[in-house]
Amino acid sequence: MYNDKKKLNAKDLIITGVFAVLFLMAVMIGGGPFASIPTLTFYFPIGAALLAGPIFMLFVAKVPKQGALAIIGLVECILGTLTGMHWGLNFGILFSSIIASFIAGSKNFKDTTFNLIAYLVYCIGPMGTYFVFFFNRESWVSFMLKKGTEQEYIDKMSQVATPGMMIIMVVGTLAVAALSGLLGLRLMRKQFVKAGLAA
Amino acid sequence: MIAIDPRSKLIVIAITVLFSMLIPTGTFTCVWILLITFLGIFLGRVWKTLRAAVLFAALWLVFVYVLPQLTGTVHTSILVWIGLVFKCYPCCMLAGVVIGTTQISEFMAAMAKWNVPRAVVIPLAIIFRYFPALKEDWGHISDAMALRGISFSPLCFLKNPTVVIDALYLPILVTASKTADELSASAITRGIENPARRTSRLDIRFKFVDVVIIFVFLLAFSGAELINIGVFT
Repeated sequence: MYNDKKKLNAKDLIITGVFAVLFLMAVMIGGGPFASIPTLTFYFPIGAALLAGPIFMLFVAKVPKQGALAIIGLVECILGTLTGMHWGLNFGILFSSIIASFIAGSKNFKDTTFNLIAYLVYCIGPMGTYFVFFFNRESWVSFMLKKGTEQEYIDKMSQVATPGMMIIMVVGTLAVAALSGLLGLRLMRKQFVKAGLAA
Repeated sequence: MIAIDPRSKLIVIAITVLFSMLIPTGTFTCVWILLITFLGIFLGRVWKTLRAAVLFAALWLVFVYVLPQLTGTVHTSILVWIGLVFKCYPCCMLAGVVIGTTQISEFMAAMAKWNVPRAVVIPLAIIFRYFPALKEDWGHISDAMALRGISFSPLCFLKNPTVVIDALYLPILVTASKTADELSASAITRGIENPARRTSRLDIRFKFVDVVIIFVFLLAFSGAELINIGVFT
């Protein structure tokens, strides 16, 4: 039972916990400054994608099992809900991490291209809340207003939010995520494998 | 000083999340902060709770007296920032109290009573355990690198990005990965992989105090919600 190669054992769960902290820190440091300023809030997914690439690659190499990424998403979703984030953000992260888990898992977490694609998918997650904003503005505004976000904040956001902005957000996030993921792969090849951290 | 069941702490957090989802910022936020302050003091976390409460009071005074004097962009930016802070403050303050007063073994035992799967409990417990350790590691690494004149500031990063990545970002990842291995070794030694039902020496059950605290928070929440939707007007 303990040597099951496919299922997650206690060791994998503990590594997952530690890396969840790293992912959270990466999002906070990279995206935090953007999230609280109304005119910059749409750049939040870009900032969130900036730092996490190497963490993602190292994590995938350390716990190459189906479901580990989904647990990261689940834990972030729980913490986000407890601190009162928008549901689009929480469930966006949950779903994208589950999909990322399947993509990377289809090649047994060994194929670098698939890992990179999985990281791109993972980075789309934080955009969930803005997708809700673009496709269903009424519900988003009423949700945020009820949550007490000031009317002026909403006005500022509606002013900034144009279709062009949306394209910049998606393309920018994917570009930054690709760079960060490539940096992660490079660090894997040059440092972590040599140091014996990941096989 | 009293001790309450970790599960009732979680219930109180859930009520607070509902509170910040449903009720707009206003007088109720002050009442809620007062409740949390009392809870924190009763749980034996006096000074940090009082400090957080005083900080909130200061921000509130700024909100009430200084903000109306300002106009234009400054007004909007500060209003938005302070609005977000007020939105998150009750949840974050309560989370601080709960994390500061709950032992990890208590948390694990309470979760075992609720039959929460281990795949969720272990990562959550590790998150609370590892946050302070990460802060400490980060302090050591940035101190060491300050001697070499390397810091995480944007200026330094733009000058030579590869050095900053190699000297600050890599060590954090390497220590984190080493710490993960050490933590799992110690947890496995203490039998975390035991498939049987987890037992605990701690006496974890709902007592009279828990009922009273949950009742007070529920009462405050429903009162605020009733006033908010306008039953009494």
